[in-house]
Amino acid sequence: MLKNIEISNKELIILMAGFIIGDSIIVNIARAVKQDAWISIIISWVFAYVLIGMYVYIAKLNPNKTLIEILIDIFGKYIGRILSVLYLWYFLHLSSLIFRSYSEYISIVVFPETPRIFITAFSSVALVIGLKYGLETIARTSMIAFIIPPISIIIILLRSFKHMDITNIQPVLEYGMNPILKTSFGLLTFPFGEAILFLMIFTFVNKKEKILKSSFISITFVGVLLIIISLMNIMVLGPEMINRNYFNLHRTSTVVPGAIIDPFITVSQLVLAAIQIWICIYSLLIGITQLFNLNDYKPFVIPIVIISVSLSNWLYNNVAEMFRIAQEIYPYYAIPFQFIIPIIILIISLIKQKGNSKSTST
Amino acid sequence: MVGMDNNMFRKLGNIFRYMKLEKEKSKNKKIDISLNIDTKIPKDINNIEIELKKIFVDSFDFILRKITIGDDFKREVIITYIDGMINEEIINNDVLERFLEFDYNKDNDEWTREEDIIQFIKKEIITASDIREVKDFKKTIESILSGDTLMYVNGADSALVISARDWKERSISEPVTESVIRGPREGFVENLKTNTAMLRRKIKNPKLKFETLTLGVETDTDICICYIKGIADENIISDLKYRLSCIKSDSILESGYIEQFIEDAPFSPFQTIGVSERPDKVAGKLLEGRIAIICDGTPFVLTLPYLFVETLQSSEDYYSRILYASFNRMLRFISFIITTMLPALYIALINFHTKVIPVRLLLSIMDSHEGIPFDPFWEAIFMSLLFELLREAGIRMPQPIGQAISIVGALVIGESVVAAGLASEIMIIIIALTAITSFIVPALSESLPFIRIILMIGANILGFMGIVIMLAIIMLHLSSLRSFGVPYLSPFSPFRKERIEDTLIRAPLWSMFKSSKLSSWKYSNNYSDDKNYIEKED
Amino acid sequence: MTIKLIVLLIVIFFIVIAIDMPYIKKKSSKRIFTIYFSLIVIGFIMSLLQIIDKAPESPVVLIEKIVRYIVY
Repeated sequence: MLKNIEISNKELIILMAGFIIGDSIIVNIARAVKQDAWISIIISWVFAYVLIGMYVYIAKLNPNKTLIEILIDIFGKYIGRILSVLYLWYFLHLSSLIFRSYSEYISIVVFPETPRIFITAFSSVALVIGLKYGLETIARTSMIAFIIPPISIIIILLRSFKHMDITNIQPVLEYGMNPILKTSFGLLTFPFGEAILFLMIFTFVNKKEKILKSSFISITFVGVLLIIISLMNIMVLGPEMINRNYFNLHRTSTVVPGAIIDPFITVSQLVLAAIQIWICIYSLLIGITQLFNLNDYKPFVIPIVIISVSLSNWLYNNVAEMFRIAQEIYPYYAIPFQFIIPIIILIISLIKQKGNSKSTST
Repeated sequence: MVGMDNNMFRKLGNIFRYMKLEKEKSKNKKIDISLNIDTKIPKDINNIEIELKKIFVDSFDFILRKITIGDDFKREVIITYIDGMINEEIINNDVLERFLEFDYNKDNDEWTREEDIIQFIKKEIITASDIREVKDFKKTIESILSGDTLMYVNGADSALVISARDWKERSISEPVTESVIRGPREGFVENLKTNTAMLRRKIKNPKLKFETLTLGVETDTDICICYIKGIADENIISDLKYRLSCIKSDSILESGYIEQFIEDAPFSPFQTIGVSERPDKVAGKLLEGRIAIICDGTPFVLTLPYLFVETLQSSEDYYSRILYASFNRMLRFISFIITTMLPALYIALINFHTKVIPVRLLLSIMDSHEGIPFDPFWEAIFMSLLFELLREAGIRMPQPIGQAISIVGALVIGESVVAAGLASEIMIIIIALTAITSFIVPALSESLPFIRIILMIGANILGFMGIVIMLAIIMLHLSSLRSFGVPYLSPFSPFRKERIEDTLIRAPLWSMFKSSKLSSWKYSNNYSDDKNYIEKED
Repeated sequence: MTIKLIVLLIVIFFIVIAIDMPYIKKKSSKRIFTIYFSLIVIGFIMSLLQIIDKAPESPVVLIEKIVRYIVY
């Protein structure tokens, strides 16, 4: 159906890492637990291995099938299609969320006087061009561009070393484990659980045996980076500021006297958001072509991006609402997409496979 | 009034009808460009003469000489050539004189047999070294036009082609466009044979293959494909041959014609086929597995596939030592960045991010900007345009005036522009820096203006963010580009750490393995994603 | 202000359709045509409603209601 698109495992690692970090630097749910944020990140990180391992296992049980095909396969034509439409809505919603948070960030921090919709629209031009070129081009460009975020984080880390106060981490576990567990559940859904999207991308990897290893490398990388950022923010800014401030990393970078670190974060933010939006919209496009049995997704790129941009403007009224919903509502909203349906798929796939092996052995 | 309107409409209608007719006429009018020559050589010598005179009517440089050889059994022989293209000494000494000196009475029987006359002449009489037999009349015409001498014998069914070409051509001199400090000072010339000989001298290897073909319906230009069998990728060679066979052009006057017909992305600002005038550079590329196309009539040789890193490389890098060569490479890369991003960064900083600049510098910039009616963006565009005009004028003008114009351009125009308040001094400095650094990367000089303009537009729209987004677009375009199947950004993009040694730095020669650089190119015929791959028809 | 934005919106949509026209003509499949144009129409209506400020509540409000009903 679709022509041979191939990405290598190295590119998969970078796409996955970029995708998972994506927005979580801006919309940082772990703020709620103040100085224990790093603990909840570690907890969700550990569980992420299990969750994403489950996704990879689903991909292994249904080889060469994307998520939409698996859904139609397992649940039958009608329910499968309804579920696919729901997932397509989930992808679209996710991409608008990222558009919104990214343009809010740029609009508030860098260009306060420019209307936000304009920033979104202008950034979407680059995204459209990337999508029209295809997945291979996106993967190659991400490989080159992905050097920037870790380097900028390291630069900030080095420069803010003397401003760090390690006593800011104390008192540890001040509010008990309950809030920490609640936040780590939220962190598991956003950012780690979004890797469900990659079930659409796994079919394009050329060496499928190495997918598990690549995913684990990505998660390790992401976890380490997030913990470093979180610890750095806590130590430099202190727990109260973490909770009250929306954009912690940016605030950390401005603490250091010397204004050149700012653009680095903006650029790394663009890179990460771009990777995430690309994967989201690409999965959406592939899903549409598979749902309607088409050959090519290229014609629909621009309309879908326009809808996504338009939706991003429509979603919330202001920044505060965005953060509130990300904190309180989003984890529960993502449960069916990231946990319930995949677990059902896993169980049914296992049953099917046992049935298959039984029938072939007899 | 109504009558006039009708008239005008009728006229318009007539004009449209006339244009439509013209289009149809030119479609139907197939210009017959093929010479209606039958392919067999006529047996009778008089017929040959009539045919030749008919084909070459009105050409004063076509010489036809009819001689009679033999004492008793007389044979008539026609010798034809184009004046100015042959070495008359060889024809006089090794051909005509032999005919006159030969003792025809010795072996009478061989002499009389008709089929063997050509073989006999070839073996016994003529002492020139390069002789061929040709049976096709059309090919004999082509040989005459290429500079060979033709000998037709009465009654024989083939003709002799004697290759005694000699014409005046430019001697081997230092290439004008690519000069180095250390390295050979010879460059290609316009003659195909001399060029191939130069390459042969550099690579004394029987695996170095030269395949010739002719392109161009009217011009019949000789093209030569060179590669080293075993190192070059067979897929690329067959792809290249297919693309060359699709060329249906009237004329191929320069290798640039071929380049534009077979290249991968004609609308991209980046070239996917490399050009060089130096044989040592081309030989180096051949040894790496690339393929060269030499075109008769031009010293510029095409090399393919061409990757982005090659724009930062120069053959001098390999002749210098490690540290200096690596330093030069880094310098070239930095100048590339400066020349594309400097005006855009300036515009972005002035318009959007003024708080990044230290205060004193900001004050002096604002000072020099006072009284300028334009936006920094239009100022930059204006000054860039001025620079491009000066550059183009510098190429076209004759030598004696050259010095005067450069002084005029640099001092007078620059000074006056600032004094008149059309541009600020800072802008002049920036444009001058941009210009200087653009000369350090000559291979990219065709792409730089476009990248610069795109980045400037991005900077004007959204400042630093705009630059980043435009950079992203350029990077996306580069990632999607392929040169004959090889990704343009190798070895960065499909990341091969073995090949990184030769890109931004130049690793020691004794550590670079020369064998089979093929493994570094992930060649694939898989153009599924690429918008830029267009099937070239002609 | 809103009129300027509406005109800008219409111009953008014309540009988009002009860019995509050669693609769609090449494909010449009815299905692609219908899906493409339905997507364009949806996008156009969404943007138009937002520009003239007559947009209904965002779907997030609906999701929030559902989640609150189930969880709390």
